[in-house]
Amino acid sequence: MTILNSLVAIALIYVVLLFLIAFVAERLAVRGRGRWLRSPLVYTLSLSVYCTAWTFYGAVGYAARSGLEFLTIYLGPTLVLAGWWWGLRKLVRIGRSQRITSIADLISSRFGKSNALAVIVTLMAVIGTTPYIALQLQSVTLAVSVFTGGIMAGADPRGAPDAQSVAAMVALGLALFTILFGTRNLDANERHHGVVIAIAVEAVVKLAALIAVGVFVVWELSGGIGPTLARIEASPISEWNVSPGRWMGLTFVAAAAFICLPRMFQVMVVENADERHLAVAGWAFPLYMLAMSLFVVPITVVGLDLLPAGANPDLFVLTLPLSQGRDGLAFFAFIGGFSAATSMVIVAAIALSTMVSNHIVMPIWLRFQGEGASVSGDVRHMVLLARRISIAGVVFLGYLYFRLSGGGSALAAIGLISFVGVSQFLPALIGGLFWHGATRAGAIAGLLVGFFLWVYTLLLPSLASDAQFVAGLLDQGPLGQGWLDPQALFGISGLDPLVHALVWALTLNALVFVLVSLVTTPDPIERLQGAQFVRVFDRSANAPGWSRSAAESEDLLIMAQRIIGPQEAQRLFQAESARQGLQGYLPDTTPEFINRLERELSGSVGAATAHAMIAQIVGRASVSVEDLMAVADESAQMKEHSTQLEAKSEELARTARQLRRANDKLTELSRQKDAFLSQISHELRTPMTSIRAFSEILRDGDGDPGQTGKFAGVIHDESQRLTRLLDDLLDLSVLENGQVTLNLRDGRLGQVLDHAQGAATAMGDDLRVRRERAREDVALHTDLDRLSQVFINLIANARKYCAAPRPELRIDVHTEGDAVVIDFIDNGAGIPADKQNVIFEKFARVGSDQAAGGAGLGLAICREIMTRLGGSVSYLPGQEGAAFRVILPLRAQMAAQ
Amino acid sequence: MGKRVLLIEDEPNIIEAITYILSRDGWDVLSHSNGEDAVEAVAAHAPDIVILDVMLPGRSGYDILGDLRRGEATAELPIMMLTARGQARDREIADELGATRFMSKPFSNAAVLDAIRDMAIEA
Amino acid sequence: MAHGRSRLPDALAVLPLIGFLIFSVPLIWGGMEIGTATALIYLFWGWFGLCLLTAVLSTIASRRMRPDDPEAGAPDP
Repeated sequence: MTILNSLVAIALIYVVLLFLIAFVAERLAVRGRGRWLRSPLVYTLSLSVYCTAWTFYGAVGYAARSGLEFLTIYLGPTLVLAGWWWGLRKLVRIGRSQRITSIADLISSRFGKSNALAVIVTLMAVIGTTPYIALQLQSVTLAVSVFTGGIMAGADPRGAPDAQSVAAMVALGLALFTILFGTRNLDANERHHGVVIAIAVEAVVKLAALIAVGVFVVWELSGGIGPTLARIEASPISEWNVSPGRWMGLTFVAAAAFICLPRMFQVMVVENADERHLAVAGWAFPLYMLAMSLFVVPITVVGLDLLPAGANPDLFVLTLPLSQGRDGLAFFAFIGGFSAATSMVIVAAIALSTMVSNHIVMPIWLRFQGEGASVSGDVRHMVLLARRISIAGVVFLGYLYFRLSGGGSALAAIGLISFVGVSQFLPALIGGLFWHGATRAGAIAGLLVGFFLWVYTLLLPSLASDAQFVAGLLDQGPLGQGWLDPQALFGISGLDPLVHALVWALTLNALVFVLVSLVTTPDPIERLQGAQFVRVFDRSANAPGWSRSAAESEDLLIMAQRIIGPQEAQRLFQAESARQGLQGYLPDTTPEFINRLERELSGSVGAATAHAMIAQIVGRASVSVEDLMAVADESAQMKEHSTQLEAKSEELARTARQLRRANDKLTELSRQKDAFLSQISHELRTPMTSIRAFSEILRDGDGDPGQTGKFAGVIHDESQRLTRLLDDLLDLSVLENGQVTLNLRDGRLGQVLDHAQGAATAMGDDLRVRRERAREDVALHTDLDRLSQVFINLIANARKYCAAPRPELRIDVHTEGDAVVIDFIDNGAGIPADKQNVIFEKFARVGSDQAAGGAGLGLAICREIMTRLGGSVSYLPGQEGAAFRVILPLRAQMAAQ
Repeated sequence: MGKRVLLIEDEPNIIEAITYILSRDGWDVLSHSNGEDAVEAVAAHAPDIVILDVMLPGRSGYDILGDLRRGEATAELPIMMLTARGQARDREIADELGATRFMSKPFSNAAVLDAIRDMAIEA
Repeated sequence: MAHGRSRLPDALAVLPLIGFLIFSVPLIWGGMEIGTATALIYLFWGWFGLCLLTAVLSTIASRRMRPDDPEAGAPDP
């Protein structure tokens, strides 16, 4: 029992270490100091999730059974990586430019953002990966049983009483780790720094462990390289008898799986930070795999030699050092295998959970939500929750499979079966990347055929020992039809079952894919997506999918805020406004902008969902003849020419847009100028009317003596109102002319807000003000009185204009760099988009609201003050009510005066 | 009991002044401070004379005037327009729409009283 | 120089083919008297050679990949 305890302790310490590394990496990345976290070396090491416990322990067992055949598992990926220039580079480029989140997302996006396709791929990936996760859990329990039960244990992992609890503990810990570090960021393209660095560390650990055991075996047990080679020649596996069919087939399957496995796609494409890292990984990862397999044969041979005949070769890596009394080395090997198992489960869970939540959970949830703009609640929390639940679900499914399956050999075979399963994605993937003519219908048909054949010819027979029905199927074929025998279709027998399944499933898959693609026509969106994928290296192949529409920029902003978060969304919209030569947060909804926005959103929820959500606001994407012409046009010269024209016309469009806005504003200003006279006349005459009427009553002396005091009071109030109006006008004019002297002092934001809230709500406290005082503890150096004046105005405005039954104002403070941002957000109806441009102008008021008693100068004064203080005040669209954002530098620059 | 005047105006102090001046002269003064349902208020109170401000919350006094003139019961009702904008253009609009009297703010109390008395006689 | 540049992608594209040929050689040993140890030595040296060749060509290629290519790399803004 003590050995079990020390094993658990070592594993725990190791896991805690990983947590720490991941945590520190996340911290560094947040602070922008994590450049080295994204080096080519880390990228290369992260690819090692390919080498799971199945290869760590299993390669030796494989070699014991089939000699050098185990090498094919590594040779396939080596070929893929050697050809990175024309294969992986394109995949990674597309993944980056289209903000792809998973392999399901890639295939769905390529074939017209079809969610049906995404669902098919997701389901296939889950079915193909679950047993593989179970295999990892099994490897850990087997390893533990060797330590507790001796070298001959491990034949039946479930025999050991602790096996179940060990597996459950490992599963629980992994789910926790993955949720913690895998769902920190929503945007899959924001990448998981912590996870990747942890995987890289585990890569080093498992390689070091395997090499340590190898060095021990070659130099200590065998006495050097020469004697080791002699020992190999003398061993039972000395004869080279690899079947050419299996050699080629397995190399091919491994190559395909290397691209198609969800976890490989995750580290290779989604987590890729720089395309040039491929140039290093292209040779460095093959070297890593070479090192991983270098000592496999020596360990096998010496193990077969030294260990008793019944010992499980799958565990030689552990049992060999143990049998020689080298417990320390055995512990190290255990940690190596543990690393291999955990890194696979973590990355697979992240990849699968992204697919499940983006393509299954979110679309269902959105369907119950109605129209896009009115999507209630924060979609981000929903997505994160969906991902967390999916992670727990995926890991639990793996654990369940481990418990329910027969264990032992039935599971060991699942590695290759899983490889053949995911390689069914290959035709759709390659076809989508390189062939214009591939269609959605073709992809769906091919995938379904390949998937069905895989289940029928490989997965079902692998379960044969457990199920009577399957055993009968294998003996006589279904319904006694011998030619439908799962392992000898059409009577073609004699083939190795795995090669048989591979050939049938993949060939028919590809054939159906091509044939159906040829007889169906892609719809326009498919065609455009196809052109973007196939010609990703052409810069000009930027096909617009959205027609110019009357989409409300504000609706899009509201939606974007809920998916990628308010700050990110506001930054995106503001940048686009600036690019169009506009100010504020609401750019024109040009097709290019909607495209860009869709791509950003798809980084969070996948292409199909993002497309559907935008379509709810913008209406259906329509493709114009010009778009299609642009796709059809292959002439480079034409492209060159049109690129230049495009640049010019874009510039013209920008100028026109600026002119249009300027003209609109001038017209509006001139109208306001006219209104100005009328307004100022009204503002002056109204109090004067009361003053004149009551003063005449008093003058004529015919007033009720009891009421003279009251009348005098009215006259007094109204003359004060006149004075206030004149003060405001003068204040504004002084501010506008820059003659104001600022009285810069030190103070704290919280105190200024306290003062302003007190002054603004003195006349009545019907407005509830919600503040978070902890965040207001910000030191300021500015003109505190002027700042307070701005706050009073904004709070008083909310009090006056917020028409909610229970008016409420939220004052939200956060610092951005060396400025503090203060948002005033009420729960009223907000300000219509067409008025947002003019509210900061003099006498501009929304609706007629004399009741409010203002002259419409407040916001104009606020804006002038904030400009003097070196900051700004602007309307923040897309909040629940009217919202104003004040940005103030922490230290006012004297030069700003 | 004098004749009934309905004052449609949103400034409380002006309402108070006009109410005081007219009630002292024997008029029965009602006031209404919202533009939106001013037409309904006229129908409900059936006044003999209406004083109507131009800049009202919810709806412009001109719109209300137009509606009243189109209404069968109020087509001939004496209506005095009040405005604080005081531009010649406002008087023209009021005339076109069929206002009985037009008065700009500020006004002298005597002028208001005279105008109301005249309107009552003319009607 | 321009000539050499245009050849580089071709050379890179041929790499997997070279690898395939290297790894296929053992298939013709079927009937011969070649043991696992020999096969092992051949495969690992061939594998290592392929890695070296890829390393050389890839390093040249990555130097030529434009560092200012916004799609290729550079952290997202």
